[in-house]
Amino acid sequence: MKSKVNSFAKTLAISWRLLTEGELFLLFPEDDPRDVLGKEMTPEIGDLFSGTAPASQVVIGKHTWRLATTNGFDPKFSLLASALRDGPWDELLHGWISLLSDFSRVEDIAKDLVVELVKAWDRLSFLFELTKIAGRSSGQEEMLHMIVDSLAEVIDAGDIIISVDSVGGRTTILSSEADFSIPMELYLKIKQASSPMSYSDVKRIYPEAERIYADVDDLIIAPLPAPEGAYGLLGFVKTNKGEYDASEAQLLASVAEHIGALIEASQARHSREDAERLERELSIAADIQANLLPVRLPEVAGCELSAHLQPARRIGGDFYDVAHLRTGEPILMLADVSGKGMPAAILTAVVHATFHGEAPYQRDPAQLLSEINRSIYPDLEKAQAFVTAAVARIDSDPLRVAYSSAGHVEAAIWRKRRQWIEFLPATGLPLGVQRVLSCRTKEVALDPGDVLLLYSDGVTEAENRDGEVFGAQRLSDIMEAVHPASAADQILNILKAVETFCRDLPLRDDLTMVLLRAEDDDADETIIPFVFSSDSNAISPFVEWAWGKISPFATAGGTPDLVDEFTLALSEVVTNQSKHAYDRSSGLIMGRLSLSSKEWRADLFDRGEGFDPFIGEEFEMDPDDPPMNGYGLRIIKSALDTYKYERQRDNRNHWTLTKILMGEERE
Amino acid sequence: MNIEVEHPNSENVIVRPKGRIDVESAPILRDNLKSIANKSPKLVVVDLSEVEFIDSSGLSALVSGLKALRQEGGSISLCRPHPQALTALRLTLLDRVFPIFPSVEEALEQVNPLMP
Repeated sequence: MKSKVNSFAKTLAISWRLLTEGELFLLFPEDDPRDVLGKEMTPEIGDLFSGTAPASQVVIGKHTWRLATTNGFDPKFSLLASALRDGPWDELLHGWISLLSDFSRVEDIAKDLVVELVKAWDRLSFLFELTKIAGRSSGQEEMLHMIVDSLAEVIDAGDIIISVDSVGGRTTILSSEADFSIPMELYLKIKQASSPMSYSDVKRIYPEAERIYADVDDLIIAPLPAPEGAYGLLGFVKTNKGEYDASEAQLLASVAEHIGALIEASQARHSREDAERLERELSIAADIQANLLPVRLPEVAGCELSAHLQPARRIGGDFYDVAHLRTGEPILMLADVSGKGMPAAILTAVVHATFHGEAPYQRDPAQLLSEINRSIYPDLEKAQAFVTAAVARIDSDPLRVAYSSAGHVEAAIWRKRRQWIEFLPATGLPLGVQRVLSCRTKEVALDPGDVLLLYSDGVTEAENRDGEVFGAQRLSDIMEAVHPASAADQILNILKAVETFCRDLPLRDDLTMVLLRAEDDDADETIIPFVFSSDSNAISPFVEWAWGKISPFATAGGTPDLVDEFTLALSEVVTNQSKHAYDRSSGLIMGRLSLSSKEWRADLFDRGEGFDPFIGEEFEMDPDDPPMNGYGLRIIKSALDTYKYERQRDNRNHWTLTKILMGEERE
Repeated sequence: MNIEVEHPNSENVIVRPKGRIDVESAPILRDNLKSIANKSPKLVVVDLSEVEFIDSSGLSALVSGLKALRQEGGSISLCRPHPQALTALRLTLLDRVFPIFPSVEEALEQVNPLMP
């Protein structure tokens, strides 16, 4: 009888191990020196029994079972103990225990049934185990190994084979003793099957099987179902144990289905984990890249520097930097690596490092670019990438710039005296195009108030929803509008102009700018640049903003009225600009306030229809019959000391409004 | 901007615009004054105490309301303007056209105008 009970005890012990990863011992009857599985009662195991709780004694029928576990007082142990007694934990288990108690009395009749029941329990616990395996394993292949090991341990199914598609081919996992393989052709055919295949099925679809599986007594193979098609297959192979019965075929099918579901879940989990890891790496890369940018730009006599990089994505292909010649002159570089994302970001680091290595020794920017090209050409060639780069050495006293550009977008210079923009074209091909790069250097003198802007094509090629690009003309407009402002304010407003132009459309490319402004003497006024949309709902925020900027410049003596007067006149002009804008959605109104305690001036620029409101008919006020219109013009004329409208080159409107606070009689 | 309209008696109407009266909102004031004028009140008092900002479009709306009322034999007075509105009225000489009072009551009584 004991041997029959052994089968049940084995079931309990295995399921216990699967559930808790500990060992379970059972004593029956009370005084047997060995546990039912035949393990020797070592003193250690004996201690386990003497130390366990009263609940570990379970009376079933006439017999008292005693249980002990290496898990100590695992809560599951008392559950198990009480389940064995009361059956709430698992009715099925409890049912078996009753059955087994009965069988132990009718040994021979029950023999086969007990074996079946034990198998059934093994399988049930195995399916339960499968779900746990998926949680424990760190990858798909490890998971499949654990599944095969568990299957081999709990199921007497012969040799086990799992074969699945993997990157670049197929991964096959066999139980330890197995010596079995499945040719690719058969593998693909089984993957297409919709249900498990018997040995005869296999021989039918693949006649070669007869010969290559000559040693095999029986086999059953099932596809591992995927949402579409199959991940691979699961096979049981017997070489000396007869044939598979229906219950084993059923087990194979249900295990195969489980494995399919586990692979699906595991792939989903790993792809999520991959995405999270990538996100972490990306954020580290973005930090690294941000740290490549100079913390601060150098102080250079005679000029003011500012720079900005607005990445379109977390990491990008633009960068700017500054290095110094051994003789001290600063060298600016702005570079744009072709492509986007991680590959471009890695190359920016390479260009960055090379620039820093070479810059101290290369006085001539063209020579510097050639040296950088020589060193990074092999990397760029391998990556099939190229880099456009502008380099400028700044010489002080007098202020000059030595400029060289390897295929980079034209740099812009706003010339204050001529009120004109110049563009500095590339002086050579991009880096990475030819093994030997020949560039030229152009020397440019900068006069007081001149502004040099190095930028990436993300600025001029920024697009709005209509597919229109920001372009060189708008860049030139905004540079003119804001040129007397501080370098930092200029960059801020250029950026704002691009953003206002693009509105809600996200950037597609990095926006990078380095701006150099030559110092100007006549700067006792404060320059406050601005840019906003010509959409009519942008007017009142602008007017309120302007009021806030102007009012600190109002000194004592009734001047709050003057702020109202000037702001009202500004509002009338802006309303006019908005009314005559060609395109209110992407049209821009830009300009600057030049404020001092003596004079307030506003310069406003737009590209709307040409319309001179100052040529309106003269205002006649008859209190008994006041005119219906003309109040805007009246406000401008009476609130300001001077006002000028100019239709400029390229259909541009320039308005200049002045209010003099001191030194002149007001009306 | 929004506008509240009060009828203290059969002959007078008090109009209270609130917020900014500019190119975006002036048409609302103009249409309001016109529809009031159709009912031929004797005096419309526009209370400007909650108007933060008025520009030439707002002034035009007041003038067109005045013209409509005059045709019906009525008139418009203004009261409690902010300094900004007073500046706008002064610059356009409309302070010579609209009587301006320090309170709604004084405007209704037509006494103590801010300017002679």
